[in-house]
Amino acid sequence: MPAALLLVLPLLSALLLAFVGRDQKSVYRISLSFSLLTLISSLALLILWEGESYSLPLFGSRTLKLYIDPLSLVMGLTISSISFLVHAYSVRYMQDEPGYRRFFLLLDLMTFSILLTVLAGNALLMFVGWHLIGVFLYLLLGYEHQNPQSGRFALWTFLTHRFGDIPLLGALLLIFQVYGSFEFDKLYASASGEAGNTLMAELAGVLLMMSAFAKSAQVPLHLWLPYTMGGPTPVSALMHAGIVNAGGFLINRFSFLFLNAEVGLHLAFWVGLITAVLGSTLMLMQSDIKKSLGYSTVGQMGYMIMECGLGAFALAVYHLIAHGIFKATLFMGSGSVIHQARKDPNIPEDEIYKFLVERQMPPPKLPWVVFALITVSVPLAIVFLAHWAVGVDVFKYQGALLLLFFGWITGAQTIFSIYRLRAQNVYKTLLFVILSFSVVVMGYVVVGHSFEKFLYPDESFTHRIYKNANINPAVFEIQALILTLIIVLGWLLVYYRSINRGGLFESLGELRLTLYTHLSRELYVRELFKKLEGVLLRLSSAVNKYLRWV
Amino acid sequence: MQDTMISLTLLALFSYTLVKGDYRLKLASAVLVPLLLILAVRTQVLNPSKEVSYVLLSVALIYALRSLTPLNLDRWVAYVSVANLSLALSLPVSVGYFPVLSLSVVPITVASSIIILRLINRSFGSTNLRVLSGALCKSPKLAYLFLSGAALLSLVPLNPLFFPSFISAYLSFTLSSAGIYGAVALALSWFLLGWSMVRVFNSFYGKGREDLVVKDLRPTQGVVPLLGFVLSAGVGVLLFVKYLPEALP
Repeated sequence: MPAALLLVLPLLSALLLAFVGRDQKSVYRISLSFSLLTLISSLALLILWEGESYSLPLFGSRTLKLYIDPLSLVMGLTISSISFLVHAYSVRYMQDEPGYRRFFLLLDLMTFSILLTVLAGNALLMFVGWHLIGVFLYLLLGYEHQNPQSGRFALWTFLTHRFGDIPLLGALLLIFQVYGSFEFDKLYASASGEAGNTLMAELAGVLLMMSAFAKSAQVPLHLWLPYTMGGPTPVSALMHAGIVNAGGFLINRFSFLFLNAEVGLHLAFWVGLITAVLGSTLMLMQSDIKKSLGYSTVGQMGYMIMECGLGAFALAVYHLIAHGIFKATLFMGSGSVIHQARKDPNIPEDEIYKFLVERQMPPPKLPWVVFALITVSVPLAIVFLAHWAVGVDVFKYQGALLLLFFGWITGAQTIFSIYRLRAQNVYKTLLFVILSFSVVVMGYVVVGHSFEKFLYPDESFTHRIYKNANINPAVFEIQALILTLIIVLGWLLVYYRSINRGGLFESLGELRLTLYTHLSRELYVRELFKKLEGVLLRLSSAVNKYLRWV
Repeated sequence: MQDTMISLTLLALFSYTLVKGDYRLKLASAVLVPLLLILAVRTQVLNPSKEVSYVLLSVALIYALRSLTPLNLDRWVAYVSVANLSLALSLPVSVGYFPVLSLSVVPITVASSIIILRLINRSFGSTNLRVLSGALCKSPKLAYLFLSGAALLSLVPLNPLFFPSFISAYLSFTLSSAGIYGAVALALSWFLLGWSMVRVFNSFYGKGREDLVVKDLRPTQGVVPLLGFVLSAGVGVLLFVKYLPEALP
């Protein structure tokens, strides 16, 4: 019953708003109450769950079914929580905006679409929800019609999502041909064996990934995300916390497919890696707080997709939930930050300014060799210890090893940054950093491990996916070596510069400037799409000209 | 050969009358041509082979591409309708009720669109998008009616060009009958038609000019079109879950 309520409540709220909601008070009371009820229903569903996945037919239909499993439970709770927060936040945030009722109505319909996607028990029904997300997102992003950019980028978003829907359709039909069903319960049951047609399964896997790339803003289909900041802030929060994660959900929902398909996983790894690097780099170059957050999401989504490519599906879900929560908070906080910044004359307080900018940095008290050793070894030890504590054999899977590698890089980079900051009290700062890093890593590994057990209780299932994500060991080692070299080289360059040996940097100055120029133009992806759009429109005009009689 | 000739002749006639005909001829064509096609499909005079499906899907793709640029709404409706008809005709008869169902929707949607456009033309003397986007702003009530009607019509659940459940059915049939090329042509047509549809909606707002802004009356704003969409989506989903699994290859 709570499962059906999850879909019925937002829809009912939308209908009530359309017919009953006359003034702002009644609008937000209806919408907020139903949103709260949806959240309670999702919580109840999780609490009442008895550990077995099941299909729930609606209205006695053979095909209109919901599929309740750990993934849908977790995603349902995440979405209803974020939706409730966004509803509550919008009550006052939107009170001076025109179209208050329409906004809440759209918000409810969007919540319905996302919940339909995650709860659908039939792949085609899931596709309906998936497509509706794109449609309602278009309507929500085009909400502020006075802003000329919002309509344009809403159209852009719609097109990207629609473009991403096409490979999903293809994938679904191939899945039907391989496994003979669209029902998730049957698909999971039949997929544990070998696929009849591996080539079809591989192709379906690649198409599925392509669709996930479009929804999760992966390069080169990433531009819709950072450019759609014209919409209201609550929409940005919902978009970055709920909608953009759909790619990760999709891959997890069709995880059975990757028992017999590996090309899609390798593709996801590389696309995710490139997106993570590019998104994070472009984030650092933005001067607009919301756009910077937009690119941060692109980077995070890249990381999430990369995790999927490594076979760590459960970790990707954990990541998307954690990211959803913190990004929603950041977006909802960004409004007040911008508001404060507008009031602030932007002149720092004298003492702080002097402390941060004008003070003469004392040299670090630790010799650089010691610091380098700490930088390299301590995070590695912490990461290994955390994995050892939960009994995970990191050497068993390449994916786990690579994730450990990234964990190590993160920790090492944090410690390295202390050296760069030249803190007044190196030992104290170092101690706190190592302590907090240990807590974070331990928490992440323990919770991540438990989460994997919850989402995928069958160990052989995860084992097969991790195994499929493996590549040729020699290629893997070369890959890891290249990544390590790039990172170490980066550290050396930063260190070299910090000790004022400018010679090398001066010779690299030109290169840096060129790189900066190209990156600041976002690698011309926008121009590329504009050109493509122009070509299609010109082609259309030409065809219309030559066929003007029919 | 016979299938290709019949289909292409009727499509050309349909397109020509919708583009060049007067109001009465357009209306007659919008109703009669699809009915003729339904008759041809029902009596199996038309039962496209793989090659004919290719041709019809290519026609759909060309018309979907054409629908991207016309400034005149009459032409836009004509192009979208021809693409719609071509897609419906490209399906083999063996898939059952689907082609007939899709063909049946065409007279309703096209005739309603023609009536709405006729009203618009009489009120403003034009169906040009640029003229309309300015003129509709001066008459918000009519703009509201027009845009609500347009939104409802374009989102009719049985319209295979918009609603995902139907496009999935189309794609599966196309894959089974016309193979990969057919599927790609269909998918691209679907993408282009979605683009053209949203482009028309978009042309009514976001111009960056205060005088071109109808306050609270745009399709993306009005609650009525949204409800229409939800209703049509609901009907689409119900039809889809009832019939699609039985019709799948």
